[in-house]
Amino acid sequence: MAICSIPTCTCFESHPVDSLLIARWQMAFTLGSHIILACLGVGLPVLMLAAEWFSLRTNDPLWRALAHRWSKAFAVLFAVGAVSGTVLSFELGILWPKFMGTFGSVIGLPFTLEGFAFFLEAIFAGIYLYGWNKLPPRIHWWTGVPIALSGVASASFVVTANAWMNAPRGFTMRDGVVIDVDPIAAMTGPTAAVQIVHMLLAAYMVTGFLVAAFYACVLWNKPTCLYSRKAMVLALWMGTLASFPQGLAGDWAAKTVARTQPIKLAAMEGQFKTETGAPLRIGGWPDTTTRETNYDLEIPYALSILAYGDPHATVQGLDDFPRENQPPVVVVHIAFQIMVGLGTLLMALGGWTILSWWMKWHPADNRWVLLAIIASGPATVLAMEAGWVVTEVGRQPWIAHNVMRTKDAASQIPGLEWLFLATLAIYLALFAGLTIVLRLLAVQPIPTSSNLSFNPAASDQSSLS
Amino acid sequence: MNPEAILPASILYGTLLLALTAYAILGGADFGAGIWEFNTSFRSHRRDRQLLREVIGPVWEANHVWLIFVLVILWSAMPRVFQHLCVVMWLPLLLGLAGIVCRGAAFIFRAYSPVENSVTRASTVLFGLASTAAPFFLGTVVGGMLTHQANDPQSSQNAWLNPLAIYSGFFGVAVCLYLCSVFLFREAGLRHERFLMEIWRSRAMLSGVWTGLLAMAGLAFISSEQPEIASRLIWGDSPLVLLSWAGGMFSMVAIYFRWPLAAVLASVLAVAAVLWGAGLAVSPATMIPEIPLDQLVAPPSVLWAMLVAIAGGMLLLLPSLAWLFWLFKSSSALDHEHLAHSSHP
Repeated sequence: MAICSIPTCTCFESHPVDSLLIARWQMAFTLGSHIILACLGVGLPVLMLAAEWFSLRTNDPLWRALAHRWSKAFAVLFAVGAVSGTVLSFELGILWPKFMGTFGSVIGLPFTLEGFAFFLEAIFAGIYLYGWNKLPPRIHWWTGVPIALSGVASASFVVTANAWMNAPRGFTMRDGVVIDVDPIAAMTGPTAAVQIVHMLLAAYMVTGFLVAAFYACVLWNKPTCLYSRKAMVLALWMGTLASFPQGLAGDWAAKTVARTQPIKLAAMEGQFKTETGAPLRIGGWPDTTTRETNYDLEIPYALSILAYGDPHATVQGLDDFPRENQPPVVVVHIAFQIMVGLGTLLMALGGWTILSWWMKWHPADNRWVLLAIIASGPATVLAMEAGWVVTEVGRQPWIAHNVMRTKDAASQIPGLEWLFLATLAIYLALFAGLTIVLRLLAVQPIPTSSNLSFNPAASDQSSLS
Repeated sequence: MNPEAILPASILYGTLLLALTAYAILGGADFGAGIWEFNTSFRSHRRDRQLLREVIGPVWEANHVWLIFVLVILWSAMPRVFQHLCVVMWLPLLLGLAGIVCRGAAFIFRAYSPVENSVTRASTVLFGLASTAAPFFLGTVVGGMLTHQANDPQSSQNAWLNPLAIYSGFFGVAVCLYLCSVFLFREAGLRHERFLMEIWRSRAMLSGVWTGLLAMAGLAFISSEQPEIASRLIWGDSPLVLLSWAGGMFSMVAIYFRWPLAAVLASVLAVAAVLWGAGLAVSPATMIPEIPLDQLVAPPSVLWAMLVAIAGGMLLLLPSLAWLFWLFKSSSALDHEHLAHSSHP
């Protein structure tokens, strides 16, 4: 559930550690962890269905083994994602009671719909994962389709709620109380569509490149492993196919931000002063005392063109806005550079994938390419997290843009720092366990055609016979 | 209160109670599996433990989505109630949440780990502990809401630290144990495991009697602590407590005479009636008197939009859920599988 705030850089200064800051760290940490699992929850069903589809078409036992393996990985990741998502829905109220109490009804419709999407995902996950031996093969494949679709739907509805925070609308307030709500208008704000597309493509990129990176690691030592070669190429194609439209979606997102949150655009670009024909700044470090961005590469007029489609368009600078409304520019600018930079590199890798397919090269036969694919896994996660930092920190100090400040929404409960430490410990154990189980699943011997029977809960069932 | 909001708000409150009931029964039986495993870990045999895991495997994930559903309806339709609940009950909510997180992760790690190792061993311990902790703390939240101390923002630290709330925690654990044992009595029968059926029959009798005694003690307790709620609970408009008592009694009879399906239905009735009784005895309005009622619920436009969304969603949800349960919980589907297994040993 993509909600709320990510900490600012103030924590690195000699600032007293206040409960607002810890609440933000808590939210950022749990959300940042959940979002990786959520991306895999959207992307893995597609990979698993593709592998099962190839196995049905070709009867190749390797494809069937892959479909089994990925469905087990999906089962574990989905379960951990489900519990970390439950954490977030509790945290919305516990960390941000005033926000939920005031605006819960306004963003209620997308969350209600999300509840159903998640429900369907859980039901069909149960049917698909435990139905390998119960259902005819084609019917079994079809029971996986609702998993992929409801994953897309639930991600879309959650992002809709976040889009509302960036551009709140569809309600009237009197004395701090929401009195009239148009739930459809609240759901269909100007940022909703672009945020959904941007996030879904990111989810497919994360899954594709992360899975490809895993098999690239295997191929580094065993370049002839047919199973891993198939797996890596399929996953690489998923990342590739998502990476090109992502470039367009990113441009659309920037134009939307320019229209709806010019102050966020100024922070992303390190634009301190309002400028006509503003340049695009690549890299650089915004200096908050001299109010300018240094050491950057400037492309003249490019920002005005990219944001407004006109080289002489005026781009508002941060100093046009009151100081107390400005987001922490260093974090937002750097995060934006990381996202765009890594996104471009990932697109280049996608270009190489297409070229290699054209030339009939196999990526596993080139050590440099293999290295690039290995790097693409962490890179895509980093790019996605950086993107969330841009949208969340870029909205600060508001929890709902121009409507409610984050500090006014925060909880007053005591001992938040202990909660944060406990959460860190639990999540550390959670991710350690997750890594160990996924690794164990991955290093299991690949079943041969004589040994294809599949039991989802292998440890339970094997001891039965 | 805005008269236009009364109808949709009432329907949504009813939906909320229904979803809560579904969570208490399905999620509760799931928790019960963990509590039973925890309590019998030193004297159960392997097949006993396997059945526990086998039974919840395909459905536990769906069973727990009911909780998300409850939360979402609560914060959308009654945002101020959700806010209030989170402020006064943050600690038991977080502790219950930790239980939910740990048991979910532990279950899945153990089920999918291909070999026995430190992760699976730690998971087994954690699964039992967390399955017990989660219903305990969630029970204290329900009990805390029943008591009037939750009204006083000054006592937010103690909203759940009162005898009735703590009692409710224990009662919640007992209900989970009872539901699970009745359900497993049926599941063992479906799998033609006579021996396990007898084990679960005695466990169901035992936990049924224990839960019944605890419930009676609880009623006496509420009568002395909160006479107003007790009178509404016992002598209210609808005789729900009586219905629950009848359900519980009949489930004992059905277990004694080995009628598994009747026992399951009767135990469901017994638990549902308690929740509905509590739900009708305390409405959101009596829980938070300092907030005017028309600020407590969302505007009618939101309520109606949610009702339309819920009705539409149920059209997809209910058939899917029915299929899931038919595939993994019906006697015909399991018999088919049983035959398939016995013909290919």
